[in-house]
Amino acid sequence: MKKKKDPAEQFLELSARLTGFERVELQGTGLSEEYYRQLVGVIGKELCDELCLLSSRLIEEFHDDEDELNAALRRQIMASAKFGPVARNIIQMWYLGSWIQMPPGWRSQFGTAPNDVTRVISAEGYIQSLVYNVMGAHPPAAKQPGFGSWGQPPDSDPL
Amino acid sequence: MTEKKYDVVIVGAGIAGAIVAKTIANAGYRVLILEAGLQAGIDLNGNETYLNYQSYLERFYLANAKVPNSPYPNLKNAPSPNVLDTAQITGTTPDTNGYFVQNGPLPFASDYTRTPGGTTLHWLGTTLRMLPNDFKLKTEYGQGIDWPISYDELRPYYEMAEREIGVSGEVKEQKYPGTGKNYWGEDYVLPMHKIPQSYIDKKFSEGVDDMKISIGSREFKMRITSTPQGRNSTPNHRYKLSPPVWDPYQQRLVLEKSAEGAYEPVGSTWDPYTGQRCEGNASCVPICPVQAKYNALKTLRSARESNLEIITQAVASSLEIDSASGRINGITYKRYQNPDSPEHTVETARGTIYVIAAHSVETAKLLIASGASKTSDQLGRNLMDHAVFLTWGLMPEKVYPFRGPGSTSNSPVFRDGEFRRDFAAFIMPIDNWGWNWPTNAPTSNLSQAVNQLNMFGKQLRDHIAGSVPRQLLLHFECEQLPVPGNRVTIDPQYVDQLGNYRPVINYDITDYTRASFEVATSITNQIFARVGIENFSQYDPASPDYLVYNGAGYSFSGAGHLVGTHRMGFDRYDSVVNRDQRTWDHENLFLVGCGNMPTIGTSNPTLTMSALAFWAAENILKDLK
Repeated sequence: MKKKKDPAEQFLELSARLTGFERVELQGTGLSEEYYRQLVGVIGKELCDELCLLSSRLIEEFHDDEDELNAALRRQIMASAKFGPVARNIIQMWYLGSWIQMPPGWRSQFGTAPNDVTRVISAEGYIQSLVYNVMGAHPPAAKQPGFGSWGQPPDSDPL
Repeated sequence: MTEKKYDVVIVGAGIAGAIVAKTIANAGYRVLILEAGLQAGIDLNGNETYLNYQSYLERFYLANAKVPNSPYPNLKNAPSPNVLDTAQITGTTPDTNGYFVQNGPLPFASDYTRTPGGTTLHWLGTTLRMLPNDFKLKTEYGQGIDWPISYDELRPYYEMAEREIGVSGEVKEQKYPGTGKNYWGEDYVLPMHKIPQSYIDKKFSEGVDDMKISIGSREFKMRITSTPQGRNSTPNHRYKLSPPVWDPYQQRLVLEKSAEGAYEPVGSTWDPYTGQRCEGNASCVPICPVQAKYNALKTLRSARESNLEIITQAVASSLEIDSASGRINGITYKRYQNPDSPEHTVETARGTIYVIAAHSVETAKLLIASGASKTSDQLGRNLMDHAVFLTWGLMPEKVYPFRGPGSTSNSPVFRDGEFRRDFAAFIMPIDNWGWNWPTNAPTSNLSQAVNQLNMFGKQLRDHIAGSVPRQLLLHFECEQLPVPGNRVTIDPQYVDQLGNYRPVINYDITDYTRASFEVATSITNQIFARVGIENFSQYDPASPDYLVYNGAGYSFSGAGHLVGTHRMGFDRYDSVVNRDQRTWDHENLFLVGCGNMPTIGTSNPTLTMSALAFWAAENILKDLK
């Protein structure tokens, strides 16, 4: 019998699909568990479990076909009034290291939590912001690439 | 208890105060500095210095808006302005939301930092000398006023400032308009070789070098050059000068060839082996994590400790003036123990000579509050800044911004010329940090891709990777002329929690400077058309500093270059200080800082101000003999 994945693991797999990063790249930031906790802390365990379960089911169902999977993720998660704003926040959490306050419409329908405020999640979160990796850069004041490095293109173009 | 008397009492532990303090203490005199900021900011032993600096870095990491003052404590007992408080001023009442009380019509959008080390903690580090004609703008072009000091007179003091700050640059590449043969001394080199120019600079230069730019009937040839900077690079082995020392026989500061040879970069205040080179943190503003960029704590650290006392958490509130002689008898200050509490004691510092080095706005404010320097009616007036006009677009190929120091090259073409009769001169730095300044990139790009373009997954990743690395930002730092109505005043209605005055500011931009925004737009259009840069510049009518000129709308920003509020001049009726930097009205009171500069030119003012601080220190030492 296949072992059932725990929600934190499901969250990591969903995060990989949403961000366009490999699971191992996300794990490499050391922040996956922290971000899962942050998400639960704002939207609650129940909603979080529901999202993770749904995404896990879609990933399993369409694992052979990337396009089909993306289409299903778009229809059932990104376009969902309930899950869309949450998914967009998961992306922004990974890319920016910040929690962005949920949109007003979502807050009035699904509730407000005291820590649903725009904030940098942690110093480490900022340092691991993925947006800079994608740009061939690094977060200002961290992961400095060394004297003169800016005079050349980055060693490896991420594309 | 007998009050201790010092040879010199200085207000402010920023770069101007630090240079004066070090020069005088090292000449053998006893110096006291009063500093409004926290003791933690100045503990000069390694471990505590490190821990305090790490707390600045941590505060920066956690700040939602990473503005220039974001890493540093904002003290209720000595508040600093914050650019986030800048908003349009509507109606007839001032905007009192931030530390400044803004009367407008335009809000003043620059800040400074009241903490040990001062605003050098978050300066960019650009160290350009002013041009000879900047010192005689009235004579040459009929604009502004002339200085009572010429470029040639100030040149040796520029060399002292370049030694103190540790400037990296290539003299042979520094060719500016209106400079004769003697702009640099014969065989002069800077302490370190240039900071490598960015990949953006190279790509942009390939596109624009030698192109003709037409402005009305005038034609200009575009040229990009490396920018001298106060951050550590590879030492230039041809540089042999020792730090300036006071020669009591010649009665002057001398900068002599060192017997020891090569210049050594000055590392961080906690560890000399940290920060020996710029490491490319790309965060000079607001904080260099390794202190490869100069800050004034480095100067304080190299002052003779036995001759220098620093009292922190001491906010100067008034000068005691002898009514008969006009001499200063003491400086009254409010000393607080707990940064969160307004409780304080009132104390007085006494010395033979007094120096106010509290930054342009605070120095003017302190003198106004004391009823000092009233004769000329120029105190607090002529507030200037560079009006920063930004243009931005996408390069045809990736240039990989968000790396390296904020700017490593500039075009000096519009820094001087006959056109100054008609519109303001400007320098055009090439920026290395993409559209961060005008649009908050890359956060805004990511947010747009996710929330408006509805992207996720690989598509999102590819979109960011394909577009953000093409971002180009140009900025135009436009000269402002001295205008009496642009001023700092005080009003008893507006005080901070210690009961010290908050600065009340009136500010506007004249057509002379507005015209340069129009010229800059034309330059941008000509360059973008030639290089194939997609123009994304737009100016939101709701932005704080939005204005209209010739029917077109423009936004501008402050540069943090606050100049002119206690200017030097030719007589006691046209200025606050004389060419010695001594106040006309108070024989034993000197002022230092950018407020002494009669005009701003197109150079970031810190280097010139530092040269003037050495100049002032020399005059003080002559008095002390």
